[in-house]
Amino acid sequence: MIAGPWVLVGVPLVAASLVYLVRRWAFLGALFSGGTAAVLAWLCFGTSLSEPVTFFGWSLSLGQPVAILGRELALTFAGQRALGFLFAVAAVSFLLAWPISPGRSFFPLGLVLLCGWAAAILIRHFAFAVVFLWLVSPVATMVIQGGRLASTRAAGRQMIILTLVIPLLLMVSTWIDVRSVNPDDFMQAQPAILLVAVGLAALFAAFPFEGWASAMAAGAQPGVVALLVCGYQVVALFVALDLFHDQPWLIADGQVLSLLAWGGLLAAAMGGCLAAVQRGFSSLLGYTVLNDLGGGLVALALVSEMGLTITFLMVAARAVGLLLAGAGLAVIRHRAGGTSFANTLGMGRYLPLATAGLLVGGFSLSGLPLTAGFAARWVLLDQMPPAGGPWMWGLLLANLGTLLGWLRGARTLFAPVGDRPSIQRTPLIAGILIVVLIAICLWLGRHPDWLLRWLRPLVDDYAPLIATSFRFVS
Amino acid sequence: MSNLADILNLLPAITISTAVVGMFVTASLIILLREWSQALLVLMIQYLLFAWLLTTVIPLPLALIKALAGAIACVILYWSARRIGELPALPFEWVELDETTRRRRTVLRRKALQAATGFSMRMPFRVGALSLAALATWGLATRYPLPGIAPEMGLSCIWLAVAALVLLALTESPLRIGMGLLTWLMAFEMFYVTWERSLTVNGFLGIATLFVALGAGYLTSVRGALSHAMIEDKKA
Repeated sequence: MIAGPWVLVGVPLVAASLVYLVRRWAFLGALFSGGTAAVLAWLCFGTSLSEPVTFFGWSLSLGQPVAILGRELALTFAGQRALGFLFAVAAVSFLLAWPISPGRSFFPLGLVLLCGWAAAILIRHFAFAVVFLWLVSPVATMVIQGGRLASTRAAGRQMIILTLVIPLLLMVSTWIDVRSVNPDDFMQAQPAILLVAVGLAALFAAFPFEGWASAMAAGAQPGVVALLVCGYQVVALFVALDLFHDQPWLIADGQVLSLLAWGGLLAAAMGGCLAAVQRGFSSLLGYTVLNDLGGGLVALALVSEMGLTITFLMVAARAVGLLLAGAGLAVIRHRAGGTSFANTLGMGRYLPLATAGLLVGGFSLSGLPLTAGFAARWVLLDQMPPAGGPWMWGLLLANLGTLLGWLRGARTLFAPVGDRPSIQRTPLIAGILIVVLIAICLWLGRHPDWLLRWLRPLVDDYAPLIATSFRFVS
Repeated sequence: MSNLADILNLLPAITISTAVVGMFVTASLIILLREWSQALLVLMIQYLLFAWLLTTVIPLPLALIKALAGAIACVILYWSARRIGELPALPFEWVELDETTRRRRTVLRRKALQAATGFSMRMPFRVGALSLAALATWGLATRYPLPGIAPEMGLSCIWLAVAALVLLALTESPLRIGMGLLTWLMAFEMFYVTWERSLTVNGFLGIATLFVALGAGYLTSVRGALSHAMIEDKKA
């Protein structure tokens, strides 16, 4: 019988080497890598952890743990959902990369990223999980740059921040071991709590470590932004939740969550303010993502059942919004030769589908009513306790900032201009995917309850964590 | 036939204090030197001193493996920079700008090209930053000594970390950023090996060192190619 972790980690790696051979042909690369990711997503969503399934005479048990180098890799229920989600996002990203390629290396390196992220979620030891996250960061550097002769700022910042921060989280692991010898010694706990707060703040792109996420979202090829942002955030979220679950004393006094909440609020405020005044769609998308990530952190720090639900809801809605905005922007950038407002003036007339994708995605990330991102934002504002009034207004104003930015963008796209030289239409595949994603985005905006039902078991899985924690807003 | 340990024992002149002083000198030189190849050579020497210091807390073979990983990382950076030649820092998103903006920024470009060694910060500024870093290191080491580690090693550990941050703050060049990150990793490993002796974790740290060098090397190549493209553009 084959154990699940072997398949979830090994298959993307093997597929990456095969896809590398056909990387020159975007169609084959997209087909193989997208197919691999889609099959793995189906495996995670469609099969049970406990019951073995048979494929072509091979028996596979997803829930069976394996040991590598003395460490256990096991798929939990939460991990199964997280990986399924990541593989699904990757499958759509790979398909979108077929008509508008973000670089030949995206297909094989994207699969390597999936392999690393899967290993980080599967391994049952915090130190090794963060090491895997670290090891894929140089790979992410190459995916972000995508071989372009352009600024290396986005790719570099991502690598710098992870290299500076992961060592701190490794020390946390050591301090946890030290504290386990003498659990009553509070002085031993303090360094670990401080390091966890700093490390997670950087991983979650909270203020003052927010620069890498916004730079990544703004500087990477639009088609890969969704995969990178979702990948990092999902892995960081589940690694953090597992850590809090195993070591509840880390958040028992509320210091870590309080710092994360403040960092999230400030990141959201900064994202909102800067999004309102951008003059290009890449940077607008980057700051909108920052605003969204900040809101997600505030929701996480609520540490209530609803807070956790909002966090998961925001992660799912963010993926839809980013895929949509990324797909639309990739097409517009390819056709207009840039993403600045000056470059894209009046493009709405020539590329209506791509424009609709970009705007619906952007508005969804900003939490506009009737889009996928609205429900989570609304419930988050509603869930703020009475003492958190200023927080609510801060988040609301920041949201309005991003909305203003996207409205300015929409005005540019539909501005009247003279005749442009002939512009090719949106590629067929990209057009179909954009239409499907718009439909999903609007449908989720009308029926968030469907997503909530799907997320319910995941929230229940972390219920013990909620029971042992304090609230940050008193 | 004498083994490596015997040979190392024949070097009584290199005491721990000498190695610590050596670390101070090497990290300072990496920040101050204008020529990238010299800075890389100094980084390699720093790795040797680092391994020497580590032999006081971990077995010699493990320390040598760490030195080897560092040396390979330096070679990766050297190849990347050598292949392309480290060229000046350039205005961001240059190739994505439209013609009008390009023309407007020609002055910036000329300045960038004239800074032929890749440093935007002048020597007095870097010396000043280095002095402040040294003061900060002394203050941190005396007020907050690192637990579970010899004072000399704690001092060099803090110094390397501070020097790495200074290096990262002063440069935009991916090559220098790579050097800064490797120095940061050295500082971390010097502290961490006293707590964590697991071969697996240390092996992963070695791999991470190589991966960071690969990432920095890749960005160095891209940056260099961008500079070449701009120069060709100017000639045309």
